Amino acid sequence: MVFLKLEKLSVSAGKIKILKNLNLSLRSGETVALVGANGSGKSTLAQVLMGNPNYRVVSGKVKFCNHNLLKFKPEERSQAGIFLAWQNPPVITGLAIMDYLRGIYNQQQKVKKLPLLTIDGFAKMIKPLVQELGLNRVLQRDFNDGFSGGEKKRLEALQMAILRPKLAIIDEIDSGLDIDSFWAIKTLINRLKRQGAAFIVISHYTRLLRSLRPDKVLIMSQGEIVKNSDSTLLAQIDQLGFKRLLKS
Amino acid sequence: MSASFTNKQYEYGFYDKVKPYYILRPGLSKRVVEEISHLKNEPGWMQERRRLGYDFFVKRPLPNWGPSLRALDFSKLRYYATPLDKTAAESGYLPSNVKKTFTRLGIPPVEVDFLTGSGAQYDSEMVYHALKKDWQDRGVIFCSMDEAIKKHSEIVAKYFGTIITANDNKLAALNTAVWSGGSFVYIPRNVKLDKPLQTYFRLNARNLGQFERTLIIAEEGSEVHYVEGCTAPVYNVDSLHAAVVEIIVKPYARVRYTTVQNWSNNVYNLVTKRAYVEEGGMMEWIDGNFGSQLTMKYPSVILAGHGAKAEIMSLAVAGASQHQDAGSKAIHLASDTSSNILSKSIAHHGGRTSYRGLIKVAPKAANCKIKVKCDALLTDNKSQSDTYPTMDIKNSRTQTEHEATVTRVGEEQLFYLQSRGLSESEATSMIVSGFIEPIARELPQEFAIELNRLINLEMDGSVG
Repeated sequence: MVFLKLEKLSVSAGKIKILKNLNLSLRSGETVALVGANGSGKSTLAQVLMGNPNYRVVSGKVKFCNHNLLKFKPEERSQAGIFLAWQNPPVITGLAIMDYLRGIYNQQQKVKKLPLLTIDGFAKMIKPLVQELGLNRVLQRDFNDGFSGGEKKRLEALQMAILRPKLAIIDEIDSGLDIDSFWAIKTLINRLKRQGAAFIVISHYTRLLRSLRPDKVLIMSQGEIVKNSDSTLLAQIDQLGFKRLLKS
Repeated sequence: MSASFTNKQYEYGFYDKVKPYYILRPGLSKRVVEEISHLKNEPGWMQERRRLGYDFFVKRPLPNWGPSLRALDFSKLRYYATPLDKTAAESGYLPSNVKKTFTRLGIPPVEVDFLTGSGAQYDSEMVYHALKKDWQDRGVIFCSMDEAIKKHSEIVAKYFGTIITANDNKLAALNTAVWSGGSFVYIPRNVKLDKPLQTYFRLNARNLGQFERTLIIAEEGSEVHYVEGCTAPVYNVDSLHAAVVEIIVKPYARVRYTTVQNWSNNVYNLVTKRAYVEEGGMMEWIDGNFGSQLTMKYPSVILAGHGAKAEIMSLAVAGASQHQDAGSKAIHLASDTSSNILSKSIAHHGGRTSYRGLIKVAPKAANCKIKVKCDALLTDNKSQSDTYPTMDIKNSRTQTEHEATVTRVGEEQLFYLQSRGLSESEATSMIVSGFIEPIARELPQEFAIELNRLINLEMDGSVG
């Protein structure tokens, strides 16, 4: 069975082609590191895989668990087991976090025809996760309202843990994190990995990537995948930086 | 959350084939006014009051501020219709169609244990009013205004039209001229009702105006919660709902008045509501407005006695070709009075919401506290919201807080929520539910459930 396969995927935003001819295949449970300079197309790829309507797929195919992913609406992609941890999640005034979290959890349960949780039942279920991620203080607020950068990232991680995806795309979850948050999130990702989740990890830094021991490392530049190697590439990136590495 | 209705459907839009026992021809004249009074066999002072109201109505121009009312043709409306003949009214008999309608609308009978009393108005007349016996025994009065004029004439005559005079505004003048139905509530000294009184208003006849008149008197130290709900069928002609509600809150009494209106979108909803609060008294307006083509409604409180308090919470929801012009007024005439105003509005499918508010503090009223918060939510780019706050503060020792926000449900927010498995309409409903929660939690439970259900219906397919 094909888990995730991109074939000659090209994408445009307006008239500008921003992803060119991408090929990638991923087995269930594998971890891919996606690296590259700012503006190389990493976040765009993440958004395209989630179904952001602002991008148009010009050509190519994306298969996920034998389905044509490009035909799925964003919510169907989520329901099929894809999760995107956003680099910059929006603030949503008026959206109470606990109601929201229970809403997305119960929605998933409904799709899977599993029992729904009550307010109390849900609060009990997520308590250990909330503690692990140090989010107790902020859960009474509106969604991301007045959150620090680190708190936003931790709330993304919490949602990932609640939805337990088959494929998690995490977009710079490690930027702007204090040390404690970094460890909490790293521990969570490793746990989900052990439980069988596949990851596409986007980052500017190699610290998180190294600790996740990725099966593949891809470098993107100007909307293309320009290098496809194993985790030894991470050490070279640290030594040389992208520019010199790509010239060599 | 996954209701299959679209926003265009209004589930209370059915009408009954009830042949009115009596219906007036369309149009308004001195004779029509006299005819209504004659039908009701009213005392002379009320006939005189109606005549006065009619004169003021004719003389006064349409309001020169706010949304235009020029499309409203007063000559095409009917001003009175009743499903009941006199004996039926007296014996408490309800035509079976009318009875069925109230069952279909889910109107609870007074026997349910969460109410103290229950009433219903069908077109121009209250068709029943019932109050639990132990409260009757304690001197509480809850009946139709028509009945009150006959049975409690002295007290009605003392207060009727004192808070909202016949010449207050054009629509209040019209109501004074042609009013019919509405509730009269009297709570004796120190009597505290632990459960609400509830009234339901149903407008059935085509192009009929509904002009109920409600008067509530809460004597010293008493407490009452009055709840009203309204619906109407969908016709392709305009209807008018122009009610007047007057409330007198005596010293240390407390009145809460809750409204959830869900009019069909051919109704003009132009209501004058005002409370007069004496020393240490407390008035709370909780006002939920759905539907109608145009609502103009500004529940007001006159804080006349030392330390009186006002809480005004309103929620307005406007969809396609609807305009909700709602707000509130607080007039501080005495020292140490406080007003707390929370207004929330939602515009969707190109609807429009406006907040129009007035705060006045008299020169002699010191140490008043005022808090105004208005929040608007727009679910798309076609919808709009505007704010018209006026503050006229003549005492420098006044503490004011004013906050206004406009939030648009953005594409990015929606995509974000979709990326977590929610459909567009579920995502919108979720944002909207969170937004209205501070008001929803103040409603009686069955109204809060109804409110959430309405929101989910209205938001379904609201984007894209």
